[in-house]
Amino acid sequence: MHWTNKSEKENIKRWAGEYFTDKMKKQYLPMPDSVKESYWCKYDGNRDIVDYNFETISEMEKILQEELKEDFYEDLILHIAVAAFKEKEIIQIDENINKNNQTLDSDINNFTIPEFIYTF
Amino acid sequence: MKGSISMYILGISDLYHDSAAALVCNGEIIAAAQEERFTRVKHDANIPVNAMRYCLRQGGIKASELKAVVYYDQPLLTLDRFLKNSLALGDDAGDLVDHVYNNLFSRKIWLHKQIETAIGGLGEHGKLLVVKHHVSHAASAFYPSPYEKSVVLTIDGVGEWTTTAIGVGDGNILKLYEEIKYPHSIGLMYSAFTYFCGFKVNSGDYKFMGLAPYGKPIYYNIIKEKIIDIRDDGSYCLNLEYFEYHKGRTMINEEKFYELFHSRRRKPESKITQREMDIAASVQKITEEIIILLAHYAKKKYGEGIDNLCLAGGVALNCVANGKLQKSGIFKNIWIQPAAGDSGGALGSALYTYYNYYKMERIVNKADSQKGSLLGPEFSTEDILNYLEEYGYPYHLYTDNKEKTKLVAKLLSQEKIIGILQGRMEFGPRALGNRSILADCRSPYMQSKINLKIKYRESFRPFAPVVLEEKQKEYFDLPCDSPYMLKVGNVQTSRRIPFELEQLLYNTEGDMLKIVSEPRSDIPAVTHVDYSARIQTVDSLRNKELHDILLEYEKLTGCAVLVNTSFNVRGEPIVCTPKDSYECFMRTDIDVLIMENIVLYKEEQPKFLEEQDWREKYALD
Repeated sequence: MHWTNKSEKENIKRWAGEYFTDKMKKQYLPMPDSVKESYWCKYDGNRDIVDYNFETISEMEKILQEELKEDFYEDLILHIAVAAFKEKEIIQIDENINKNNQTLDSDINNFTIPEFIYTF
Repeated sequence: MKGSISMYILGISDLYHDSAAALVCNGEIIAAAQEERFTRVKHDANIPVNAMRYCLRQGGIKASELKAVVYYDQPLLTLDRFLKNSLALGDDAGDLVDHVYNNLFSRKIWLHKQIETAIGGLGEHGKLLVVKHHVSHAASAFYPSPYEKSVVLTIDGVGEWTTTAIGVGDGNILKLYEEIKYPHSIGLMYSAFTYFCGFKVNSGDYKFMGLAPYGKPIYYNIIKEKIIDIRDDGSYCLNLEYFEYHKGRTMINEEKFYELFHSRRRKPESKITQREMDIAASVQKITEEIIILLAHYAKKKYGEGIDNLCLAGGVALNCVANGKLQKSGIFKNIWIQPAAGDSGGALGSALYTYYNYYKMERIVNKADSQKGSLLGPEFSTEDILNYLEEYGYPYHLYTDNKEKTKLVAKLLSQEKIIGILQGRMEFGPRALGNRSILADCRSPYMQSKINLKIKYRESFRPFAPVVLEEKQKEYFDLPCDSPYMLKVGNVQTSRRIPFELEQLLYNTEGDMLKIVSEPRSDIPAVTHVDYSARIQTVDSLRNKELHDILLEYEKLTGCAVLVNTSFNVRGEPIVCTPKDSYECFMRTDIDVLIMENIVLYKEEQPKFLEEQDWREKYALD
């Protein structure tokens, strides 16, 4: 995929549009299927608890490569890492607030649950 | 608890619903609290800075003394779900990306840095540990349970990919075996109908459940035919044509719902009609059916020789379904995590780390290890007196606890409504007697009085009874105890008064205020319109103070049951501190406030003036 200078958010939208197939839709948003005997899936119990840590873009790329293995992720991973690091600026401001031992209520804690939309 | 062999683990849940923190030491639960109680923001989903700091204070430790810090969800699996969901939508993914992007990339992905910043370190382990969402739920139910071995069932909206899971806990080992995956979720379907009926997603689910007994399940067949495919093994699949949540929009496809129900979504706060009552009854019936099928399947496939079931996940707060599951006898014993929703994930992740990651021995407590779920902050008499003296509020201090208990019982028998703050605050959504409003349940007017003048909430909503455990069977037909108010049973037939709901709905044109004022039993304030009750049994081990009040009240009145509702107004988190309690007391028609051994009467208090109207402070839930 050719990445543009648009924001990472827009690039994810483009990526989704470009890689979309009917097969993907059926796989990830399946509908009721009269042929299926059951909708249970075997649970993958590997990695029920893992370390979660990265400091640099390359470290983040590495853990993303371990988690996002499908081919369609290949040229997305770097951009995901970049997106996360671009957003990180918000956190750095919060760190300063915390060091000054001020209340975090109005600064770090400004995420609110939409009233009528489920928060994923 | 401090010492070289103490292993402290801090568990955290946040950024979805109901942030919380929990501290475990050598497998013992030391502290747990929801962030909303400190920030006074209902269902606060932010990083639980205050709850984490409280847990460390309660443990008497610094972050550097923690063995590990653990989070209840794996952000990269959530990222994987978000990306694949987007991929499956293709050119239609715009709204989903817009909805999820900021929270995911600026917060969830960076939670290790945010948590480290907030508490000043990640303990000896040095890196944040992350546990899968449904493993955290399962652990929150199994490890504190009184069972050595148990089948475990988790039913939630969604966590990473999983919406429903079955596993088995045995000793210190917990494993999940099967799952139902997003976007198919009974929790999300329930929330979708909650939304359609004009209540808020998540916080309104409980109201929707309370509405069900007013209706008839006339939409049961059509929902099963068009919206959800349910198999005999309890697995299910949603017809996504009826939903929009997977597209990052509102919960439902309004046009498809209109085709099915021939009406639009109810406008929030508008009059509730028979249609909403019937939809609630239908969805509740389907939910109960699925839960019973799930339990049957879990028992058949994984429960040979196991009589115990542990439940967690938001759907496990559906106490009506829980009561029916208990009555079904599929499992002899059922234990439900009192903080079954996301807040309990903080506790579950910490316990899972202790037992599964560090492989420590588990010692089962026969009562359970949840400590009555009284795991939050407490305030000494001195703390309370300091507050009252600072503001000059008149009070009466009782040095004799028995005398105070007798006074409380007497006031309750005189139909006084009492706000009570005692001991440690409850962990989980229910007030269990330490941050409660107590009242006489014998008055037919008490339900509407508390709803309208104390809680300022919808008149149809029922109140829960708290009953002496040893007297429970005299009042209710639940075949077990219910110390965490998580199971619904019926009022005994001998106590009921004939009550024609259908006729009353017709005669009053659906005026619920009039309907709930009609007595349905000799304990009307806690008897729902279908004679059901959300029971809390109280024993002297878990809550001696409340047990003593009930004993004294029974001596005076012959009745061993009281109304127990959470100490808050609509939209406000349950009170935490003496200040919260006093303010709620003064904003409402509560007659008396009890804080430990201190008694305050409303008529003695000075006029209460606030700069901001509290109604503007707390958005309606």
